[in-house]
Amino acid sequence: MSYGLELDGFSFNYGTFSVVKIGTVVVGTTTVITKSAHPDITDWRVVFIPDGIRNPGDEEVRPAFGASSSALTTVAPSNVSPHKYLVLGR
Amino acid sequence: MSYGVKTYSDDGYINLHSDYSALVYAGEFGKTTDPVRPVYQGSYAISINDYLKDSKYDQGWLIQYQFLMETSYLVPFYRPTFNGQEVGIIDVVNEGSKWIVNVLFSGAASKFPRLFGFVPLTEKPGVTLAGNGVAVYDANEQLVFTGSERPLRIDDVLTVQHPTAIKTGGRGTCGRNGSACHINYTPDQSTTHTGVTTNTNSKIYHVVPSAYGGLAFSAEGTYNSSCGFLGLGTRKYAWGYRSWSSFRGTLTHPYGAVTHTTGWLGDFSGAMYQQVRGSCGVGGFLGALLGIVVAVFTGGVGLALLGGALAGFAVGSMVSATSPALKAYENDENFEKNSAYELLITDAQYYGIPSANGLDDGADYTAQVYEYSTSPLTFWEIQAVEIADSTVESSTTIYWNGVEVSAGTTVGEFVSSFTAANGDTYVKGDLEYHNTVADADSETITDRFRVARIGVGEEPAATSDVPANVTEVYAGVAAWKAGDFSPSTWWAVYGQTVPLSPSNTTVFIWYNGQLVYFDWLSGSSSIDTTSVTGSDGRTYYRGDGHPEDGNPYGNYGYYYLFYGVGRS
Repeated sequence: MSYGLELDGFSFNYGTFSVVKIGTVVVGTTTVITKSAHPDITDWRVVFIPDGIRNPGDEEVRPAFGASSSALTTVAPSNVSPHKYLVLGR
Repeated sequence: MSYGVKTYSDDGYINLHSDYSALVYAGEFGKTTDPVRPVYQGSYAISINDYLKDSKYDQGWLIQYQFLMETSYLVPFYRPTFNGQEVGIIDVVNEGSKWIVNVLFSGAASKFPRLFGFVPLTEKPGVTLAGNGVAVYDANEQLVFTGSERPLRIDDVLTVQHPTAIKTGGRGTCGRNGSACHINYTPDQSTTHTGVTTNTNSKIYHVVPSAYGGLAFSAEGTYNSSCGFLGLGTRKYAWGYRSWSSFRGTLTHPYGAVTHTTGWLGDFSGAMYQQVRGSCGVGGFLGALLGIVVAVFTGGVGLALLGGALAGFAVGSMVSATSPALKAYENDENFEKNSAYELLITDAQYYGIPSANGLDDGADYTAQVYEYSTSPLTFWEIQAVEIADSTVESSTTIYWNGVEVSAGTTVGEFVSSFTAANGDTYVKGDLEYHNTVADADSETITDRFRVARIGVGEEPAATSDVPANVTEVYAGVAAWKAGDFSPSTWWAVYGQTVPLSPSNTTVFIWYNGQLVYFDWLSGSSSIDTTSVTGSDGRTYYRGDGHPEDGNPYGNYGYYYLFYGVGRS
């Protein structure tokens, strides 16, 4: 490589995601991540990991996330099933 | 940041930032249960055999994996076992250091996918720094990056969603003679999402689909028939029929394409039929008999199931439930159809995961050989045209067993392996043939190399006994026939009489040029044997049949059938 970061002979020039925030989804609440607090991050993703058995008999739903120009929100409606979240950014 | 370090990737995004933890590879999950396809087996159940599970209920296999690591956050990735396999992670359970994942997949039971875990570096215990290189800490003195823990490489990321319906086409009906009747619940709805990275057999995927739902059918009624003396009486009958298939959202990632398809795969099905009759008379009764099937349906389905097929999914040492929750449907329902979720794609080879692309890392594939120039054509050919010592054009063509497996694809001149659209990988071996045709202006150079084919557990599923996580190799039969034993990898069944049968056959295995199993007509193996322990202590599995090499091949008074072979 002619520029950039090389580690043990490997060019570290590929795309990846860093973990900006982790947490547990709280039923009925909205978690807000303010983008201005992370000015270097321009691409945001949220990964929800189920925390336990998801029971289709309960007609549960999963948490969701939304994004605006200023903030990222994770939304947990009242019938949400337990989840953890990882906010990923790059 | 006012201090620290940050770097950017070639795509212009941050790829290292000392404020944030890297997501790093943690290890591979182990399979803890055999795959199952549960069906309702309680009162009034109609039998649903494997054929019906495939053809009417589109039912996949449930399987459970376990990974041990003391971490609070883990992102699971899966590697499909064959091209077009439907896979859905349905549950993730964490208690202490145990991580349990339940997965639904399509194909044969032996074709279960492989699972891998990625964790934030800050959450990974026991990280050892290399003696040199880079280590980055955040403001809380937590290690967030190190050259010894390669971070997740994102090949592609998409936001995907399931279709809003499971099936819209006709599905048929069942009526009063429905004691062996089945509705066709095979889904016909899917959604294709297009990314930028081509799917191959070394790609691994993180996605936990949200969608689930079911299709159901019910009918009931009464009818009369004559009875008694001279048929003057009337007997009343009541009947009821119910069936369902429960579905989970799954995805497929076709090899050679940049698309990902969200669809549906069944996890639990059932069918029941009941008929009762009244006494022979002129009036009657029957109201109390109607609806009996409904009562069974709502009250006993779960109990009829859980004591059996899913028993192995309960991890005894855990307080948390670990068995998949299954639902019997009375009506068509579809939940979570509007949820979108992230699909992350990376490449297993990048993390040094063994057999990441289906190759056996302990085998020397370049030494494997197969007939390369006679019918059926089997070779790796590079043709180049040179004018005045300058190559103006070159092309690579790969034939296996008479079929041009590289058709429609550009194979690089200098690559050493090629993965075809069906997931089989072909490895270029030694040069076997060289020819130059020259005229006044140019030279055409033809080089043909040996080639080995490595099936990745999906040579027709019905005939291969190699497990999904074991590479299936087949090469070198032609060389063996010609007296060159060293480069062979295959499983043969041989005997002295034809037709070959269990009573007159034994097994004979070469792997990577070594004779690893040779049963000299002792009777401890036969044409029906599907796995043996080799002389090296490893387990060898019989793969797909290759009748083109025999069927049977006769030589010096013996007859041979040839198969691919895998070892674990």
